[in-house]
Amino acid sequence: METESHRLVKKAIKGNKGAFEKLVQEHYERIYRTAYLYVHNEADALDVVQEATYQAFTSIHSLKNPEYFSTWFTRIVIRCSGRVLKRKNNVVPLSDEILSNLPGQANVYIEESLQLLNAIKQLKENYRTAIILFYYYDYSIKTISSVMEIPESTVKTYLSRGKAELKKSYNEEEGKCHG
Amino acid sequence: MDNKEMKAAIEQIPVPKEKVFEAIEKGLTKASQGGHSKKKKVLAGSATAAALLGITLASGFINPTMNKVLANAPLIGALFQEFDDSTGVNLANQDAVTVLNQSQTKNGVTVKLTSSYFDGNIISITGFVDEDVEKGHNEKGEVSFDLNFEGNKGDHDPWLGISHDIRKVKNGYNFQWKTEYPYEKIPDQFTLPVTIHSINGIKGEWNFDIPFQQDKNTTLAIEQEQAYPDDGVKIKLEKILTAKASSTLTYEIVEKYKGDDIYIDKAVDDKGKVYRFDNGTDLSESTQKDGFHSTVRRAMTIVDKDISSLTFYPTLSFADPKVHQLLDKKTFTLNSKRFDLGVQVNDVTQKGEELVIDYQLTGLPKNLSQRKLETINQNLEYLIWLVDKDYLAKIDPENPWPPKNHGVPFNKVKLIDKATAHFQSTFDLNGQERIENFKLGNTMFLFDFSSFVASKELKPFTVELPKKE
Repeated sequence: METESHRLVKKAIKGNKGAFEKLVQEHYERIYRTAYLYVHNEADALDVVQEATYQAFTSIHSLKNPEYFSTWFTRIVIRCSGRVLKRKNNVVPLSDEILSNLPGQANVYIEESLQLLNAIKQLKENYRTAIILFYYYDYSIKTISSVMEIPESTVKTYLSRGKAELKKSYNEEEGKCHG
Repeated sequence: MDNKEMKAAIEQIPVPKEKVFEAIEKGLTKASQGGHSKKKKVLAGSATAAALLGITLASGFINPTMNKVLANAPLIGALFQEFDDSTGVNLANQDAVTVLNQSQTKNGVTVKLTSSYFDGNIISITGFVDEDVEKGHNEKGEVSFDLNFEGNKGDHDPWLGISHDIRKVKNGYNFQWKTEYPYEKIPDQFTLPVTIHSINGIKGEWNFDIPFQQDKNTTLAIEQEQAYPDDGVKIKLEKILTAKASSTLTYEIVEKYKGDDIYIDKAVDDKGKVYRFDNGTDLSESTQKDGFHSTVRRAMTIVDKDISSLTFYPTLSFADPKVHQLLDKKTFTLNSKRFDLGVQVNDVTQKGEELVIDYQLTGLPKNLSQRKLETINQNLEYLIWLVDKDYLAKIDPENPWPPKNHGVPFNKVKLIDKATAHFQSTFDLNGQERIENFKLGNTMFLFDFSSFVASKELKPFTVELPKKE
């Protein structure tokens, strides 16, 4: 699998649109959810997907090492999300849309998940990026440092502060629910 | 909280797959209209003598409304459903698909054609290729055909605007090719010879004669013209052909500026139903006194019989020819030929293997948003080209890209001052794209203003449809 996706990346670097499209499609869920974690609504998340695809395809020729495709693309998604956030500057309630989009069956974890997602939403952008890359992408501190273009020590700081804040707001939410 | 919990929470975010795929597609389409991908077209053209169709296996998603339709469809309908082809399913329901059973084996690889249909201007061929194709040079799960129709050679084949898809099945792959009928007069039936030269690099040839037929289409003559004098464009709707499962709109565009692109995004009927359009076929092009004429035919959602009007929503994206200046001086100004935009070059400095150009953009709206500025910054990376002056005339207007080894189409951009739209572009003179024997005095600076002008949604217009007997 690894070599196949490498070959695809190499093809994409040479300008093969089909190969590029396949690569992006392979990770469509992760890409979309990452965007969503920043922008919190479907329309903007789709905008991010579109813009990131565009930017990535028009600059993939500059990608020197095929093995960095995934982190490179992630960086573009995060950057595009950040731009949308800056442009909008307004807060859209996260839970309503997710609730209305959820499949019919009952899910006991939903409420907890929503609390957690809402807690992620409260995080400062840098902390949020570090947290998403560490927990959702399973990236190493080293990889996160290269994606975010910050020193590893800073990544560690962001992670521990992010976690502390998450815990705080998560517990507060929980407290509110039970109280 | 641990990462399992975190992942589980994040995975609760519902992903609208079709919309995400559509967004990816849109991003890619936008990229194709920009500068970079044009280079790729050139590379693809020169690297492959014949058109190679790279086909990639992707998991198909099934549209729920199609499941409903399929309940009544004969077996062949299941095949179209696999390919998410609603036109095919619809035709299968109406028993309007030709079932084929032609097969050929060459060099151990068997290709079997299973069906063909012809609806309006849409053509589809389905087939099967056995798993021995995996012995070819492609990765597993990939099938690429090198093929031509009607005995044509290489890229000079009007049928090659083909879209293609494959699905892994037992012992091999099912494939579907779809394209538009490329000629002006749509016949009721014809036979199309196809030659597959090679599959995944395995040489053939596999030859087939594929029959196509359809019942007579009904034609609705419209003959209505909509002019946008301020934008220098006109759209003349000619006719709508309606077949069994699709309709086809033919219209002419007249442009004052060749290269403007009018795109009909959608149409809405008097009952509010939305009609979408497929890619089109250019039937004719000519330059006349009043401008550049082109006639386009595009497949669209089948037009309901009982509607009385259709409202069309066109978008115009503007063309603006590149302007250029020889770099034998360090300061100069260039202006757009069409818009009130300009670039004022303050300095040109060669530093070893880098060329730094310092310039300001003029005519941009004041107080650009940060986002807009970032877009401009990004676009500037490929809006400025350096081209060897002797090769300027060799840029192919159909496929504009600097001739290899005689141009630098990219640069790195630095914003110097936002308030004065002041930028600096650095060109790598020793990069992959470069100019042999670079001399400043022989180098042309080219600037493209067209991307500073947003495309414009033209005012929608409504046509009353003639009553059918």
